[in-house]
Amino acid sequence: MRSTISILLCFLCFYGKTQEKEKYAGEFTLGIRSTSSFFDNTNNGRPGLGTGGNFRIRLADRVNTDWFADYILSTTDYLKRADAHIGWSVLFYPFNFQNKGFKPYVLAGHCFDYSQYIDLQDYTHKADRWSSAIQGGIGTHYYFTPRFDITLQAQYMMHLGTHLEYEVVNSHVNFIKEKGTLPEGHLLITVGFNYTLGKLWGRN
Amino acid sequence: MGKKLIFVFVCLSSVLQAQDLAKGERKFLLKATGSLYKANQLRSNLQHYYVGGNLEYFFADKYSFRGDIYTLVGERNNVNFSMRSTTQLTAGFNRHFAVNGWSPFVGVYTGMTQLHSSPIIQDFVTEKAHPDIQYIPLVGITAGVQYYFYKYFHFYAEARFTHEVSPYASVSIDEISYTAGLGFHIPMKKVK
Repeated sequence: MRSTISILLCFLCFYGKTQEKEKYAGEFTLGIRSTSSFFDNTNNGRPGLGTGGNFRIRLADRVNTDWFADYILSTTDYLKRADAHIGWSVLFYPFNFQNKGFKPYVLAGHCFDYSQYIDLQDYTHKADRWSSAIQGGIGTHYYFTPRFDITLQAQYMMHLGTHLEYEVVNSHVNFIKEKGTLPEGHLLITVGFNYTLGKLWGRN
Repeated sequence: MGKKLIFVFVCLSSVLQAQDLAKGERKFLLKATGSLYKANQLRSNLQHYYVGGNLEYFFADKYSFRGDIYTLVGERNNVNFSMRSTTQLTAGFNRHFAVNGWSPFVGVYTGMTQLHSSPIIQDFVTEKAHPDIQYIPLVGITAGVQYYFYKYFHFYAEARFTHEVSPYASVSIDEISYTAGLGFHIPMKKVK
């Protein structure tokens, strides 16, 4: 028991000292963003267009977390596809971590996803699915001011869960829903603008 | 109610100081406008008329955050849709190039359109099957100029390019809208 308390105290002391050195830890950033979806198996190569928002909570100088929600719409000649993503990513800054100039990062995270496919000839003919997804990618911030940045990122999102596809037979759309954990992915390109409102902790 | 608003405005003005707009100071400026927008679709001769407005806050002399809302009040040359109503909600950032009282700017925005329409088609069964309300993501760029001629008023003119994807077919329904008018602003810089 005594050793456990000692270890805990040591950890807290170490954590406290680490926090003192972390100049940017605790930053809270709010942003808007637009996401385009590429290489989707239902879009025939046509990108989907999305809008959304995000906020970031920075855990350390080199580690940030990004919490986002997006709504993406894509339309083919036969189908309207709507995707809703809500999830989070962890961002790691391997090079510059200061809020100026370019700040590249790698990211990985998790997201929940809702997809709805609607037959454009008959809106009552539709299919949907809920799934979970993981994503990874790269990106960069560019700071116009120490608080205001533009963010450009590319990530590949892989859905895990029920698989949803469609086929067109004699101009009639058939939806195919396969149970299981087949991976299905798409490339997401995101452009966002973010403003740092302040620090949640470590203001001194 | 009107007297209360005037009282609040006078109180606010007494504790806030106008930045020197003539010298290009914009930080902490809060501005609002309302106007009629004319819009032309690029892939057709369809014309839309919106009534809308925006609220803009300068968090730096060169940068501002802006939120807009528009609602459709009229249209011309529409042969594909029976438009009942359209409302656009957008948010974005502007970059200003202030020179004295003038403030040319460019900006980007994203948002959502709530479309309340029905395609004009012959098949009653199919028409009935279309949903009343659809939500369409949008992105766009804007450019314009503002001229600050008085502590609380400015003139402005601007154009907006909006890119959207049609919910009915695989085509974009991009449009350019433009407007000009009188805007209202409040200097929010505190007296030291």
